[in-house]
Amino acid sequence: STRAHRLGLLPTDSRSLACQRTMGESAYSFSLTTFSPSGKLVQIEYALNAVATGATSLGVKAKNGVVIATEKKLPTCLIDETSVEKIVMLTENIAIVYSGIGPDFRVLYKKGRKAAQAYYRVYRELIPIQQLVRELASVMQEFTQQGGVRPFGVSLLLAGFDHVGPQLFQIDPSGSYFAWKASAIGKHMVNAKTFLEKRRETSRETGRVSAPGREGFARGGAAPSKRRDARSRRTHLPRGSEPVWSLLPPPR
Amino acid sequence: MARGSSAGYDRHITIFSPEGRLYQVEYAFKAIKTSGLTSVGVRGADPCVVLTQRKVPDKLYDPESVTNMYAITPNIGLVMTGIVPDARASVKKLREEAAKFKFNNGYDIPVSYLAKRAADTAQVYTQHANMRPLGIAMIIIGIDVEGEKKVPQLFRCDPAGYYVGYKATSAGAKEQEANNFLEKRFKPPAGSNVAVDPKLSHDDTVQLALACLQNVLGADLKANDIEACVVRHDNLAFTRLSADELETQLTALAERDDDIAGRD
Repeated sequence: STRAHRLGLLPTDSRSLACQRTMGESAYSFSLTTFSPSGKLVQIEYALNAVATGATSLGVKAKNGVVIATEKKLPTCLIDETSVEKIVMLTENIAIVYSGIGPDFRVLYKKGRKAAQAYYRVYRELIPIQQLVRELASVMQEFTQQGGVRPFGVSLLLAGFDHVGPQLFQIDPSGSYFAWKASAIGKHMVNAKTFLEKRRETSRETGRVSAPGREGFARGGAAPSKRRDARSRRTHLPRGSEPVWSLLPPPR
Repeated sequence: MARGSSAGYDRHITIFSPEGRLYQVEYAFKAIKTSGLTSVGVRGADPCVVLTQRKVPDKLYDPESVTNMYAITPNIGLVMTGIVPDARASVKKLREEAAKFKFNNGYDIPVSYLAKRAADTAQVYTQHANMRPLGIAMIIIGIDVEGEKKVPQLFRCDPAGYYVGYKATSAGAKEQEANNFLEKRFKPPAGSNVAVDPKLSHDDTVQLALACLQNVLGADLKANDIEACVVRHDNLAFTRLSADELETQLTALAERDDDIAGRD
């Protein structure tokens, strides 16, 4: 049966998106994320450290929509920046951004898209955001318990607009998730969150939210390094308002 | 509270270290350099070219069988730098992916999607402890045909599962020097943020790649010491440049006296 698995002939269990076997019959049968004597799951803590070294991302919820943004600073001018996708659409009313390990993010948003499609296939309706969040969080939790794998090194910010209204969720490598009015993840999250706490008002419209969002970026992302040029920082600001999200052009 | 003592297995398998690093992935990057070769890829307005050093380690080898360039489909090819057996295994898998795509969807796999599949496979090895990452970096080139438009593409995939499109890039032992050389030619002028797109012609693209490799290796290249492959608008197939063509380009490069030749 492992040979059949390798050839992709056996159907994958659709209920558990995480349990897709790739090549290698001898996957570890024991979990690599285990309790330390003090009761901590250190692999998850280390995963959070990996997230904390990633580029800052933040999200702000408004009365009529949600804004998410991320720092997109490319390491070299040789990169074709149109090929770099840091903010990604899951459905027409849900978008997602991350901080941490990019390749891990790709795996998660692919699973997120498939989960949304699977829901649509059954109900012919767009998946409610909380349900999609629960699916993704459940995947992330499985990788903290399943044998032979490490946790995902990303935190996710999910922005969407459904029948409940605009919502912003954060999912951590442990699989725990919370709804936020505004949040930040990644390198400068502490500064950014402090800024957001002071400047936010719940009644703001998205147009007026994206300005503090961008500013929260500039302020929160201000590093002591003098070489950082504010002009070189580009932000993507998709917003989930109405059932459609859109990518805003980079600020001048 | 553990303070960064990686006394566990984090150096042996792909689990997190206390700082949140993946040591096995970092070691895989070092393994790429053990081959001692350097490869360069440049995307021009018309063609894309990949170029690599060629060392035939033993005179008894059949020189025609020594190559690091592989065609994945007739129109998409790549150069692999690093551990050759890992390269061959990866090429085999990518060829299967491309063929399966064509069979299931009825059209040729786009270059970006092939690069994504390569990178996603590499990511799996960084997350599943029972499989090590592969010690290879690949530079993939091809031309996507969208109706009337032909868009040249160049992607680089690495053991971390990271992939991105490039205007020019390199891999291997001297990739840092090669990237520095290339950056000087693609850097936006001081005070501007607009990306530079020099729209290089076929000859310019090939000669830029040759100039880059020549510069980092510190010696003039001979046609036998390198291998190069291109894809072009009027010939979409992943084609190897013959020794004569390489000689022509090398001679033309030697006679140039402008920015591309880079005699800095």
